Amino acid sequence: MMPSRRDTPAGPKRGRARTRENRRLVLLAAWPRHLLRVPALLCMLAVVLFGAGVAVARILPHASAAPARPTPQLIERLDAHVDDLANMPDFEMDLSLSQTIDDCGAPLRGQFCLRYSITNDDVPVQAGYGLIPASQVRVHGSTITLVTNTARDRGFVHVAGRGGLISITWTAPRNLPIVASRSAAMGEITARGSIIGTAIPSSDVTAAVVIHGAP
Amino acid sequence: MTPRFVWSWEFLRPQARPRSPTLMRLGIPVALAATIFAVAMAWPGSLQQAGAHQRTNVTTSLTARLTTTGDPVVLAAGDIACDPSDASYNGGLGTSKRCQETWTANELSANAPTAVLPLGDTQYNCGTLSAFDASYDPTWGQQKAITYPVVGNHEYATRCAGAIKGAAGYFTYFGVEATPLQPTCTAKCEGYYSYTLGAWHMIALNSECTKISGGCAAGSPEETWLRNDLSTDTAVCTLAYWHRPLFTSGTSGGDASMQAIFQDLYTAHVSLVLNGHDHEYERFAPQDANGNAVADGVTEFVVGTGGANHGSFVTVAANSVVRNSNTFGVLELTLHATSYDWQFIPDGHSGSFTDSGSAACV
Repeated sequence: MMPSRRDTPAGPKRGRARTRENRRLVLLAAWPRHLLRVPALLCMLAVVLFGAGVAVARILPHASAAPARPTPQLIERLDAHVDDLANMPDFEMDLSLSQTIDDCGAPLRGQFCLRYSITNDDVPVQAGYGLIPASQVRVHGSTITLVTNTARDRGFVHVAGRGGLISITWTAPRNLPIVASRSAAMGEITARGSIIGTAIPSSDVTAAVVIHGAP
Repeated sequence: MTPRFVWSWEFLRPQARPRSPTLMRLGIPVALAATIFAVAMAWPGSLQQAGAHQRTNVTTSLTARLTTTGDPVVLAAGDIACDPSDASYNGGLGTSKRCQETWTANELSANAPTAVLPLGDTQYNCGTLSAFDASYDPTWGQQKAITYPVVGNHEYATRCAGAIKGAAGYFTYFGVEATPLQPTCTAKCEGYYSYTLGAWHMIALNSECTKISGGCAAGSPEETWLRNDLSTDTAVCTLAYWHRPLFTSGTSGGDASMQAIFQDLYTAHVSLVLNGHDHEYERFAPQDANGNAVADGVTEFVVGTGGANHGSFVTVAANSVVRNSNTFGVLELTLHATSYDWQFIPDGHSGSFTDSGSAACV
């Protein structure tokens, strides 16, 4: 009896093919454990090199002439001083902010220390200080905006008065300075807005900003 | 994903969890090599930075009007004479808490200083010439021959009758002594200058930055003049003074406009800064222009206690050491060759606060 096409020569061939497939499957199952370790180790090495670079750059920021990432810019000082209000010659207004100088008696931790006072003949009518979240100070191009309500901030210390809404926009004549790590640059700017209901006049205002490159 | 990628992310975060031992094993030699390279790259810059703190040996500046025997004694305060129209003026005698310029002036004559340094706001409310003649002149003006003033914001105020723009009353009253670099100027003058007093170099500055040409920022005429002046300063000890403080616990909150100038002073190893504006006494620990306490920093005194009235503290500023807001008086400085003594002298009328000490120049 002749073997049918189903039974003849294909049998052994199929058997060899199955064996090859089995070998491939075996290889695919077995090799990755060895082969995939090489790229994985290379990836890890790259990551470690990058990480070490970042760590060294943080420890020694002056080491690289051209840092891979721009230095974070902090506001060391930002202020506005009004010595002569219209029709109120004895009134003075002062406000200052800092992200690096702790004049508020508490660790800043990225927040701003805000101080302000409105005095009449050197007697404070409104005065206070406290930490405010960094989100209440926005920097965009050449402008810095502060909007906060010290009356609603439970952590705020009210030396005189009960506080209230402070809304000021500072504008620099040019873009704010970009400074290297651990250095600072001061620029004189203009300030507009109000401090607890008292508008900042359009003239006779002293204001400046000091930008500090974070260490 | 394998946890290894998580570890690598954590590695980049400032507050990472403990790193993988494998990463540490790989990272340490790499980081070590990178550190050695970075130190080598940073070294010349470090030397350059240190060199900036060294003085140059060139020339001196103006000489003090009076020659001194022994160590000079300086008396300083700002915020001094009330306007004669002030309700508390009281014929120049003032009240218990206001207009005490007569009493502080008595301390000037009683202590026979070599020089008197009014720290701005010498005459309220607008520094008109008539107010100077009526109030400042019979009190602190008795020491005018040895006075080296700086201008304050009230001398620039114009809301009083007879006030003329540009601090004309101030520059007219003090004349060339208020702005020796512009001998004929009587209004809108620059108002900064320097001189030598004993072994000390003295620098008087104008902190009314919106009133002088170019402001006070780096590269402004005043800041450029200051840098040039400091570059020719051969004295071991230098004192600078102006009206608005950079650091204060008082209501002004400090004036950021003076930061670049303070930076120049720190870089040049200036020992002392005297300010007024806030109507109280405050002494700071040596610090740099960024408010970091450093041993070789500048010691700042705020002496707004000349008699006008008392201010108040809003907070306690970083590095503030001593504060008082209820005693008028003057700061006495004895300027030795390489050190100085300070003592706050109360007016003997408003309170008894005092503060004293000694320090070497930096």
